[in-house]
Amino acid sequence: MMKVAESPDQLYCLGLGSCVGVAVYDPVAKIAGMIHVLLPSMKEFESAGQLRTKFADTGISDMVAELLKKGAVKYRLKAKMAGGASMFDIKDNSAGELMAIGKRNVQSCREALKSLGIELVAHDTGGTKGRTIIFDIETNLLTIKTINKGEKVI
Amino acid sequence: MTEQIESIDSLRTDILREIANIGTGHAASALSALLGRTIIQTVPKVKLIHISEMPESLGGAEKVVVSGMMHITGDISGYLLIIFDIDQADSIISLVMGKQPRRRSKARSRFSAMDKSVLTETFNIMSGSYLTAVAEFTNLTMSQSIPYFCMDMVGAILNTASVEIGKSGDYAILFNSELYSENDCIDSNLILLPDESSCDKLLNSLGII
Repeated sequence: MMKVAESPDQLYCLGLGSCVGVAVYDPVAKIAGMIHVLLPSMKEFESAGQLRTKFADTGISDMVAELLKKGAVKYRLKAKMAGGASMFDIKDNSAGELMAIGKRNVQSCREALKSLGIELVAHDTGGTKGRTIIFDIETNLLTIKTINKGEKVI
Repeated sequence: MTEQIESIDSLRTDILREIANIGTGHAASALSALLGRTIIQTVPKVKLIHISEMPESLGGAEKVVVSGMMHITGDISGYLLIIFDIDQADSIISLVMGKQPRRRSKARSRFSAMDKSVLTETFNIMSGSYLTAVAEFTNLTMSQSIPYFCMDMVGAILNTASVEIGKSGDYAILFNSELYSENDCIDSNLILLPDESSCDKLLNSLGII
């Protein structure tokens, strides 16, 4: 799930759990993209027909390509991201992989941004709570809403 | 987008509904025994939905809900999620504890350890009843983990659980049924997230494919 838009639009991801929302933006051209990453890497899935935007690696590079096509300039691109929580209170190991998926998503997003040479300006990741995030393309601010904790702007 | 639109035909829906019916029936009698009062159930509604549509069909991604997630292993593997609204969770707690529902000044205040324990036990009973019904129907064996408790936005809960099956299948089976006890109505949503091979195995053992 991925979307590219221009100012004065806002981009959002509702209810991020272990998923990560990544906003990549060009502050001068006022153009930005947001992606809702579900899984770390497409490399783990050989079957064809998988949606590329579900994965951190393929999704972020597709989004950057789309941004450049719409007039963004590569060296100006910056990123902010949030998500990757461990939602469930899991005490045994039977579902250990589920616990780690948030962390792996965050890690994979970082690597994808790094390999594309995009600076990660700010992030709010991990924890145990779900998040809703809104990115304002005009101000380049990412608002994070969490239940019981209110809002945070990065 | 190379996704295929999949549908579930009426025969499969009927069989799944029958399984759900038996499962809910078991759950209702288990809850009746626990609560010492009659619990009546409605015929469950069954839907096969794409994982991206799940938050919408449960009231929007940002709605705060209480959920229990069980990891299923055995002949069938996957996850089972049970979801209650906050109000419903409050009625369950008051039913089980035999006390008046607490007035929540802040609708989103936290649950106490005892409340969580009551809800977790309810999830346990419901999923156990349901899975027993499926097992009896299909002759497949499966076991469940303890329920993992979570209160948060429904979208966040669902996308965390669906990540696991997002690797293989993109669809989930949603059962919605109502349990009535005298004046109280508990609306329960039970979501079965089988992995792809389990989905085939399940339908196969029912003689559908």
